[in-house]
Amino acid sequence: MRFATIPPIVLAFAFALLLAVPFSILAGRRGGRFRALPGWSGFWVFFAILLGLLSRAGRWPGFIALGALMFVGLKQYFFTTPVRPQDRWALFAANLAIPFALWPAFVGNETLYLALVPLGLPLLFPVLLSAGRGHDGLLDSIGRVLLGAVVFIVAMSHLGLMTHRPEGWIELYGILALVSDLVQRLAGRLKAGGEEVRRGLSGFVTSAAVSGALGYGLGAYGGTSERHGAIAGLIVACAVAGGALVAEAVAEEQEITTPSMMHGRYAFLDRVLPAIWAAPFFYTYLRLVS
Amino acid sequence: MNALRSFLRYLPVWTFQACFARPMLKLFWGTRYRRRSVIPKDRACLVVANHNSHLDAALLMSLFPLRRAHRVHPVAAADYFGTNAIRRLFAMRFLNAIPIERHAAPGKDPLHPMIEALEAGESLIFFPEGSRGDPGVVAPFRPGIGRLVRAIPGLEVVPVFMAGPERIWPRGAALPLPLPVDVNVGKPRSYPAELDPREIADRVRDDVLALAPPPPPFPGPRPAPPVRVAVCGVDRESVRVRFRAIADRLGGIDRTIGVSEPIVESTPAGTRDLPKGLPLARGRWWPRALGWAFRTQGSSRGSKFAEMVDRSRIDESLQDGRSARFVVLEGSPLVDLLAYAAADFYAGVVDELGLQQILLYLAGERRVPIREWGRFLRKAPEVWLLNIFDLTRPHAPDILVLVRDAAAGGFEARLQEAYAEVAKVLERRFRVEVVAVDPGGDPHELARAVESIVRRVAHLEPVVPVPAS
Repeated sequence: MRFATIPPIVLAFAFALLLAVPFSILAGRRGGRFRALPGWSGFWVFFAILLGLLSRAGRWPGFIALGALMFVGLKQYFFTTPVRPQDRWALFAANLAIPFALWPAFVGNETLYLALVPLGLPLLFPVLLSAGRGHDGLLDSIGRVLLGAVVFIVAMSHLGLMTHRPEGWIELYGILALVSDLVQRLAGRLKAGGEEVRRGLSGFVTSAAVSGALGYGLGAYGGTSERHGAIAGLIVACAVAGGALVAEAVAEEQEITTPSMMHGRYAFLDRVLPAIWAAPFFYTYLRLVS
Repeated sequence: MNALRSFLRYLPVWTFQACFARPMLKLFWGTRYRRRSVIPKDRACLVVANHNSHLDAALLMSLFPLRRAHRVHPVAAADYFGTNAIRRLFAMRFLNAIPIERHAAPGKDPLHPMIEALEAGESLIFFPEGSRGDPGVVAPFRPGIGRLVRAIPGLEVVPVFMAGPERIWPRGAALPLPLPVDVNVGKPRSYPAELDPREIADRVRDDVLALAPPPPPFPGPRPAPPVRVAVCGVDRESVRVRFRAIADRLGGIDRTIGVSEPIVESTPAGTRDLPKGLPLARGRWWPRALGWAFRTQGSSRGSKFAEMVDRSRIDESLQDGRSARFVVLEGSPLVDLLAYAAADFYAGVVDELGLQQILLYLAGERRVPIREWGRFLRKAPEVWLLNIFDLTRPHAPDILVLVRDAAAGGFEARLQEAYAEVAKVLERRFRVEVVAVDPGGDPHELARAVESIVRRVAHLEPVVPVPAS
């Protein structure tokens, strides 16, 4: 294949990934807060393949891969944040909701999607959880199930919705999320409990600046304008910071530390949450302005 | 003809394992096996595990290579699986189970078929709890396992702990959920045949429980991390005596774990040794191999390096504050390694900055730069190994008791000076309370002094002295 036939946004995404992966592996050698970077870059290689499938390989392979990632994400999430034994049906329903969330995204019917996913699911799960016997810890369980549903069903299915939009949205999203997350991991992330505020803020500001600049530069290739690309970059940086904050807070709540790492299962959440948290914001913004 | 008959007899077992059980366990449930390689591949063994779910037997069968599946038999309750044709067909044909009568007629030995199978070189999967029980609860093991072990002296028993099936498909649940499963396999071991069956059953249960991961956290406020007291010094005997006195004393307030060899548990009811230690997810062989390969020195020479890593891991695992309110360490991995590095590696050029740098390496906050590798490998391989291989991240204690030895000479005197330097750095940078004592002092007096500091650090009520009458 000649380079001239490959869209510039795809080349830019591949280039960003080629830079980020070896850089993360090298930075990981420094230890401390950088030691998770090699694993993170491994996750991004797979995530980039998923985005590539969604964008370029047609809907069937892309949606099957997306459904598989949603299933694995829910599985890991509910292992890390267990719910009450009587809430088994809600977990079952969460997994069953995957095809129901993907179907309107597959056919591109946004009205149906809106009714089924962002509105239907948050109203359905409290009902399912309240139907069980005994209500001790009900609110805690509702929170856990809803967070899982919002992240792994609502946010992820927005990647599917992007397949109906102009070419380049998915790659643009991939570049902005990858760069925002990497910069925040290198320069500092906002942390639960307000620790290391200065470092977290500097990381956030740097990532917003880099992401905004990239959005401006690549917006025209990503199916939007420079201005909207820049704003989308800022939005993605904010949302990635939010996702990272949630991941940190969940780890703290669940006492996930080195000795109680649950055999490394939490690492998946730490990587996937910032990467997909921004998808609904990015999609909705570009949908509104396009 | 016999070969064909045998092939047809075991075809459902292989088909079920190859086409359904193993792919589902791997792809749908994402099963992770730990130390699966220790399962004996070519000889009979008895796999013993906790039992909470119908998944358990298929999970444990998947530990064995597929070509041996026909020689592995889960032991299934005849009164449950024999009640209808479908259950019987599934258990006997697809799972290759051996039925056991849980309520055998008088004079009939329900274990006889199992003993015969083991003697014929077949492997068994045994659930000594007797039934699936309550989710997440490991019930007492029945003495049948002890009788089985006694009947075949030298029988290899493989303890296994499964985490996850109790949430996936517990008793009474109609359908299994997609959640991950962790299968932790322990080393095969045998038990003395002269022991009482009940005692063997208890020992096997302890070995299974030792493989259990930490329980999931409960909603609500969390306990505070434990207060750590480390007793360090060059005179090991003096250190040991003071360690014990402090552990006894703090045990009078609340549960205290003394990290030494062996581990000590001290409570208001008294102090006792825990010869089996505390369960850890990671074994000693890897640090031991690294220690041997990189010729660790000083207090971490040879297998002592693995012992030190183990102690630090135990200390790390107590961080959640659930298991103990106080932790007393006989020697602190962080302080000892820093002192050795200061006395040897940085001998003559030691300064606070250098010590802080090594402290960051030990705590995993910084990686040892590649240009420094040669120097560290020659002079302080322990620091390099901990840092590069992420073996453990030793904690700084809250209170450091430094036992001085006036008679120390040569390297020991230098080491003693290094301990004092390290104590100064920890006191200044990490606000560690340092108590320096002479070996001639009364250990109980020291324990009392440490208790008052601990009470202050842990915000406990101070001891009110009883007025003399």
